[in-house]
Amino acid sequence: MTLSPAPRRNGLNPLIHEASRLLIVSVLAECETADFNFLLGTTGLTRGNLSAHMARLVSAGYVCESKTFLDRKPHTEYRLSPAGRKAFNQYLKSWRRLTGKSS
Amino acid sequence: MAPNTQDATERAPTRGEALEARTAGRKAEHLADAADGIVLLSVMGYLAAVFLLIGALVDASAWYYMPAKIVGLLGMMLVFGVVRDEARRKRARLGLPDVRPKEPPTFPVRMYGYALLYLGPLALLAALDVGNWELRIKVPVGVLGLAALARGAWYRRWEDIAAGAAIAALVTLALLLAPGLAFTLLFGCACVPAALAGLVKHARWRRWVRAVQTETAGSAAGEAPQP
Repeated sequence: MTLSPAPRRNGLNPLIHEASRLLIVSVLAECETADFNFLLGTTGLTRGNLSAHMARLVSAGYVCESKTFLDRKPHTEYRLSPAGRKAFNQYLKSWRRLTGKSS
Repeated sequence: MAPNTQDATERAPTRGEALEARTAGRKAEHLADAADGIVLLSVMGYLAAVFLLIGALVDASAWYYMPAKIVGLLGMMLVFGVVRDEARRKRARLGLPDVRPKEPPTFPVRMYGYALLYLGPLALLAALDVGNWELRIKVPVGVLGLAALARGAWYRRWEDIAAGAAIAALVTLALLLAPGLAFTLLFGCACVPAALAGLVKHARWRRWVRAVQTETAGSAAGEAPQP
């Protein structure tokens, strides 16, 4: 299945302007790093859904993924990249402009 | 195994979902702070124990008084490293969530920040030529408490507000009612409210992890085939 983003409208980044990804990026923006289980718990998404959206964000370069082994158990951590943080801030600015909110 | 993308449909967020995302971000920020609660509890508990013991058992004129304090402070970094790494390892081993807070970046940086906050008022008092060593040493501890209070108010965390207020009140009371109180005893007592704040944060983190586990177990039981 190919996920084709909608064209950029009103300055809203189509990669972030999606219900689940907005939730994920909002959570990551408030942390230094978060692992897969933390994102599962805070977003309430299913494993498959979260995994697919993370793959999308990682391939866009908005999120850095690091896979390590802790006590021989795989551990996947995510961090919002500088590009991702910049895009999210830009998205928030556009959103505020559209909704007419100053805060 | 390929990820299940069946439900990963593209959909623009509604206004309600945007607000929900904002709430989730705030919750994540609070949880990231709570995840470090065990580290704060351990480090502050350790400092309280070390300084209260030195204050109670070691004579201030003894030659090993200062070395004991320095070794106590250096041991703090060891406690910090061991507790943090062990907490992360345990979470990974048990498949529990793990997160690192965004700001301040790391615990040592936070500690250096507090050290600068301590040295600032100390330098100011020295510049003002305040000769009273009692004030020079103890007032900066009260300033640290006020800084913790302000930080708690900024992030809306009642445990930090309470700990900061308790430290500031403790220093004020010590200066007013017990002017001769040894610095090590005061510092040890001041670490106790901070350790309690760490305990509250850790309890919050544990409660959230348990809620997530219960929710996961519940949904897994709901998906299980009926006999």
